[in-house]
Amino acid sequence: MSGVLFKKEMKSNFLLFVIFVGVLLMYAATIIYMFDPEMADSLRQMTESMPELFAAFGMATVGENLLEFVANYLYGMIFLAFPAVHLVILGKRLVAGYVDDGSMAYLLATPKKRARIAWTQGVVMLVTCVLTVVVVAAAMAFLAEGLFPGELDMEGFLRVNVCWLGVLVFFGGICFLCSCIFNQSRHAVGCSAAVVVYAILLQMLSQVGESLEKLRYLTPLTLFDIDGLVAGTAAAWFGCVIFYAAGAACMAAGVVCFNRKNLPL
Amino acid sequence: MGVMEVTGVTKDYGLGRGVFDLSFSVDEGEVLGFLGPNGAGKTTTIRQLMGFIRPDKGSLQIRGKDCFRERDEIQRSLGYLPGEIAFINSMKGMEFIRFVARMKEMEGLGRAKELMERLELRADGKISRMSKGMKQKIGIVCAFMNDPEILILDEPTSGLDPLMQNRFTELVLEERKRGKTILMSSHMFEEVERTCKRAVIIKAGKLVAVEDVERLRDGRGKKIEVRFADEAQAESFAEKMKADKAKTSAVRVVPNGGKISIVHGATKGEDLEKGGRPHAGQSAVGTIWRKGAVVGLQVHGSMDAFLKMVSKYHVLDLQTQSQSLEELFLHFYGEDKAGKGGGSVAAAVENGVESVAAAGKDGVESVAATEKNGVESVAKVENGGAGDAPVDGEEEAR
Repeated sequence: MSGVLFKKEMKSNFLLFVIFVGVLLMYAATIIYMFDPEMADSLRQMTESMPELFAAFGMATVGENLLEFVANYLYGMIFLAFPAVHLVILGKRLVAGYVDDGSMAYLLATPKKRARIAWTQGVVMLVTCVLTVVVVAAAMAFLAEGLFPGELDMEGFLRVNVCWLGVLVFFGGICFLCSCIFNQSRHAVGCSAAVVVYAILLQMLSQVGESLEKLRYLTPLTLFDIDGLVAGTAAAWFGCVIFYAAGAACMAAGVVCFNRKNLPL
Repeated sequence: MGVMEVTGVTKDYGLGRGVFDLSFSVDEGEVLGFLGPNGAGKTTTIRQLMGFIRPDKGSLQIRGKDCFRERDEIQRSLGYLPGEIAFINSMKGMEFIRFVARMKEMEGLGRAKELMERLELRADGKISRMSKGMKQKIGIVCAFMNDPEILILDEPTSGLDPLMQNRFTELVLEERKRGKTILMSSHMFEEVERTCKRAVIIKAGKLVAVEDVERLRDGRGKKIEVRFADEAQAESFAEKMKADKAKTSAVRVVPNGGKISIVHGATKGEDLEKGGRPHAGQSAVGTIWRKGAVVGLQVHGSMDAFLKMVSKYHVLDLQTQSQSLEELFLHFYGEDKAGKGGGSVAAAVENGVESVAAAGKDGVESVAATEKNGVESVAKVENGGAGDAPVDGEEEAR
């Protein structure tokens, strides 16, 4: 890893991070504020009146307690879609962007191995995922404790976030791999966005009704079993491990690919 | 063994683009010019030397290390100026220079300050707002600042004004004195003329020649256009020149339907050096054409005969233009390489033998001129020759 490059990347992608994490924090704060044990009944009525619509956004059950409430309202959709966009943009910038505009020549005209440059960019991706989860989860925990002391099941909350990080690492890995494969940034963006949108869209469709339920087997996001994580089942952990493993495999594949390929510089 | 060794390298991009069986080497302490028209494969070769792409066949080595596999090792003692200007646009100039210095694992900024002063570069602003010349200067600073032993410079003076081109040439000459090994590509002979002793010439991805720059310089012709006070003088001058040329044993005059073509050497070339170039002091005159009061001609070698002749007339204006690289080596290698060069080179060679002037735009122009003057046209022959010359692909064979 190159410290110089890492610092430069963290600095130049900081604004992007602030914007996307800011959006997540805003949503998180709003949802937590909305939580009211007594309002659960009226919300349940609303959900029952339009079950498909709520289900599509991962809000099939209202949740009995604060953890189920935030897990369903945030982690089902918003916490996947927004970071996905963030990671697609970041992925493009980290490798394909430099190759596309030619400035990669300056990074490689240094006594550093190509793999080391690529690995540094991969680490930037990983660190961004970790920071997103840590910042958002910590803020949510503080807010929940402040507003509803003792209401949030911290252990369950931690489990959900550990797996959420897994999903982001998986998305990040896909974006990084695409960025390493393609020489043009639009191809990198196109490919990584296609994979991510496919996964999220199919998950949404599969939750709408029974007729489309089979689609759940076609999207990796089915492995992000929020209810299972809240309950702490082994199956949910299995899904979590798969996300981390797939993400790591994509990162490694990206580094290998970048190391071997011909660059149009 | 040379510092850089290119051995039998082929990198085929299809459609005749790329480099084919290219071999040359750059010796220790040498500044080697790497000449070729746009799209000849110069940048492709340099990318391979930098380890950005690997060759299909053959090998490239710098100081005995493989350019693709051991590229990071090689970079320790190498400075590189890319042909395409591309920086991290969001950075400021100085910020970028500092960043590159740290990436190169330098302590401080090395020679950057001194180089910036020499090139009169102020790099405070954002790179995206900078002019082409300023960006080029940043590239030069980045290539030279860690004082590398080996430099690979891809069209280094593009975008620089003549004053800065001079400063840059001085910089390269200094580095040469300090024993640096430099490979410098260009599509213009003038760029390498002052700095290089030897030049490698490629065309359509194939090696045309490795030649002393001095020899190339002597063989280079000048295109001259003289405007006389009236047509009668012009005609008289043109006739005199043609007659004069006909007398010279060194050149053979081929009357060609009103257009005069010269074939060097082939049969009566004993007086010429191999390659059809005149000896020092000798001169050969290429195609002569006249359009109204303007006479155009090509002179190779000594200008003396021409100047003495023209001084007898009332001259209103005189313009000279050096031969382009393309024309230069068409002329220079026209005959020599007929046997060696394969494929596309052969087409160019035919053209070269046919007429010195037929290759360039002027050849076509001159045909047009004779046509207008009502003389029987040889346009088909001329254009046929010129049209066969290989068309160069894009510089970027992506």
